[in-house]
Amino acid sequence: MNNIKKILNIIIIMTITNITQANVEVNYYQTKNGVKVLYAKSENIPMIDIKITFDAGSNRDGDLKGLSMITHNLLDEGTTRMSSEDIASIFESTGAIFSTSVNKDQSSISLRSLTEKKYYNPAIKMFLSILSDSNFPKKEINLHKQRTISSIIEDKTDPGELSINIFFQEIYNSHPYSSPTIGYEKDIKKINRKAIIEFYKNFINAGNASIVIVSSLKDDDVIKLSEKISQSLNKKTEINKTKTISKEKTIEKYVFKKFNSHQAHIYIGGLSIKQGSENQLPLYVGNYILGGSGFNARLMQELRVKRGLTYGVYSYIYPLKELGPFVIGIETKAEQAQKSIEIIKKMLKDFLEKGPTDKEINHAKESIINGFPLRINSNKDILNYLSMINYYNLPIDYLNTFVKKISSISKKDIISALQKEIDINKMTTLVVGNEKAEK
Amino acid sequence: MNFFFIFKNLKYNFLVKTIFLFFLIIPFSARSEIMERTLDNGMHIILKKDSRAPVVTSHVWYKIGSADEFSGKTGLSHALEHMMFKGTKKNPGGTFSEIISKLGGRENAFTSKDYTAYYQTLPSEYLEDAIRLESDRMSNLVINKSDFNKEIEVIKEERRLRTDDQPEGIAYEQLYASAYNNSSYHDPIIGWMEDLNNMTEKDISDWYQNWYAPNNATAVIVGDIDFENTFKLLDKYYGNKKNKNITTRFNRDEPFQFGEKDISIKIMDKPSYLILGYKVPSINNKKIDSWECYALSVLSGILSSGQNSRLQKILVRDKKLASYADSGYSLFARYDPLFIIDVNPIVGKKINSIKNELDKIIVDLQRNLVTSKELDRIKAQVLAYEVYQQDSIDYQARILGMAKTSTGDIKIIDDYTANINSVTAEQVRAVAKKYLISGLKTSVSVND
Repeated sequence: MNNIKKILNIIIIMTITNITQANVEVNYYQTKNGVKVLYAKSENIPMIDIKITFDAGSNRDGDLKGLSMITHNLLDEGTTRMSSEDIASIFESTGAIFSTSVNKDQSSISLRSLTEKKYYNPAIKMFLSILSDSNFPKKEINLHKQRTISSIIEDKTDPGELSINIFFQEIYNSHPYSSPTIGYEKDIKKINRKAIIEFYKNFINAGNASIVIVSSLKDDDVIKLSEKISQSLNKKTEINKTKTISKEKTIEKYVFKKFNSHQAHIYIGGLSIKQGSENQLPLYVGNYILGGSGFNARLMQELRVKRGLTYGVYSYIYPLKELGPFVIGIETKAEQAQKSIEIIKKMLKDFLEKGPTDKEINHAKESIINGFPLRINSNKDILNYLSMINYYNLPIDYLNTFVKKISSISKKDIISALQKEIDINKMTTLVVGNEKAEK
Repeated sequence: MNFFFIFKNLKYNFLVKTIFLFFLIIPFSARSEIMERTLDNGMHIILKKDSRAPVVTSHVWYKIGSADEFSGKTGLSHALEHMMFKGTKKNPGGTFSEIISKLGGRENAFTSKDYTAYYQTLPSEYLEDAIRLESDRMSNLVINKSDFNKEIEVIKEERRLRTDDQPEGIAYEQLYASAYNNSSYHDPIIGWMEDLNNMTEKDISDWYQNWYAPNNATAVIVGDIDFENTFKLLDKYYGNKKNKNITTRFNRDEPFQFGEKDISIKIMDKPSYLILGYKVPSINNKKIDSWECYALSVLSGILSSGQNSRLQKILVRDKKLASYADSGYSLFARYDPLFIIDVNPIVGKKINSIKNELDKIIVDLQRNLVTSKELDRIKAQVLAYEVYQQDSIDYQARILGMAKTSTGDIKIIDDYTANINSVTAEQVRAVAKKYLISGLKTSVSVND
């Protein structure tokens, strides 16, 4: 196999101390038609996980919001030769799990299967034919449209779903990131077979794909499989660049949406950074301290432990291909909504000005570094990490250098990243709740 | 932190196409990798080796849950679980969580109707720290009024979030409260809001003194461990604890149900929803043959696992009445549980037409044999999940803890696959006939 030359091998060494060490061997390979493959071996369990990631998230919906998701949901609903029922029968009778997912930037098609031939062969064969031979029967399209619309209507009655959807609309305005991946009712109604097939050909194809495999298979077999997958995919097409976002135009906003619930759902946040930003790791550590480390984070300590105001409060930074959001979220009974907002804003202001304490930084760094093995302790974890590296073009030794980079982050790095990327004067505050939650 | 664990297949948005066979698939494992012992004070120890990564998960399971509570004092077990994070003399306040976090670990706890469990997952070299801290709070917890007064408000917020603002949460609570007259499964795990309003730190403290002791607990540790060293650690930290006289947990037997209970509730501005339950035996029921429980598990798989299952095929795909339909049965329940079916109607579809279709589906299962294709599907899935679950040490520990705590013996896990494999079509029909009796079911309809 002459392609073997293209394999680049790297070993992720989980060396935390002299006692703890484990290796995950990651290989890089490029298929004949140019698809990037990362794969890792996990010999102990006779199973395989495959994840193909596409630059085909809801960002690519165009005018029909929800198009990406409905297309992905329909992939296993019929091929030119097989019905929806036949496809499900094959996966179910082999114990294989076929799944798809769609987020704002990317989408993925995954398969988990046993590697015993009796189960593996028919499952893989079915998987491959879905990649280029899906034919989207009208009957199934109609079913999915109906169910999707039903879900969209239901989401509006759920304070959690409703509030996060409004929040994204408020911070992203006309950018594609503003719409929920499930889409809007009016657009779902307009989606037809032609639009779905167009999306399938334009975005779910070899030019737009990267592959990650974690399995007990031998190198040769993984390479053969990667070639088969990449050959099975639709042919490469030219796709447009995604729309950029600017922080310039964002303004401070307060939005109240009246809703009949006991608790108010509150979001405070705005735009932050892109994936790959030089400030990503300092912000990660900063956010870890503010609201990203569960029970020990500042927000949780103050609002839950000290004041009993909520069951959960958190913050996150979600770097995307374009500027991702910085979000603080909390649920509390309506009467406590304004008080909670006041506390959070004061804490955030203080945090952005003074940054975390040395003690907090040391604690966070230790926690992140010590916890590194937990991030890659299952095939599923490794799969998702590799998929992120592959999709966002992160350096292949990202996991190896992660610990080193975290340990070199200083207080100055964190404060300067926070002040550069999070602007408290451009925050959107959203409250969804009953009249007692209003200002 | 501190979530409560409900024996229900939580709603999966149908758009997430992964199929979870929550009840059915409880597989496993080469017994040789497991060590089981009991300390002199009666504490059970279960150790399982998985050396794929230098990581370990350390659990302690207590045989106490909401089913041990009584009227007016519901929610005690769950509230105590929250208070267990409030510190001891040696490790005051949030010291425990702080140390685990510093070591790179995750920790949490969960309460069910049958048990309460605590866990830490962390690099295996720090296992001793987790054991030391967990053993400390088994007997030295400090419960003070000011902590309690704040924490009970947190619990009320949790109740608002998960139940009071969730129509499915309310319906689930109403289903159990309506189906059971006497059985202690009548009350919700988190407790009624009225009882939370009346609860005191003294209630919590008594509950802790009554139930938290080595002889009412099982330690389950799975990961990159050495059996003998780990056993020595457990003996070091738990071995010197005195056992207590633990009140016998008694089963409040459920009297005969005189007829169908059909509850209709209205919740403003919410979609409609249907949940119903039939009373069925668990594996702990000594009056029946255990094959009945495995047949009920298979029956649940026939109804709801996968796109070709009966509920999916008929309600969702052919009749287009539902956007989602599921069934669930907990073989491991301590007392006789409900066999549950729940359905989210497509917006605009009537619950009555769904009820009619459900009746037809059940009658068909009572009259006709399921196909061998359907049985094979279930068996292939059980086999596959037996392999897949080895990918998660947390899941492995959870299954061991649940089996030991609920049934007293982890052997049930070893035999699970074989028992499912031996279920016949006749047996599936027999349990459908015996237990899914239309006149003895309880239904809760939201906005019908």
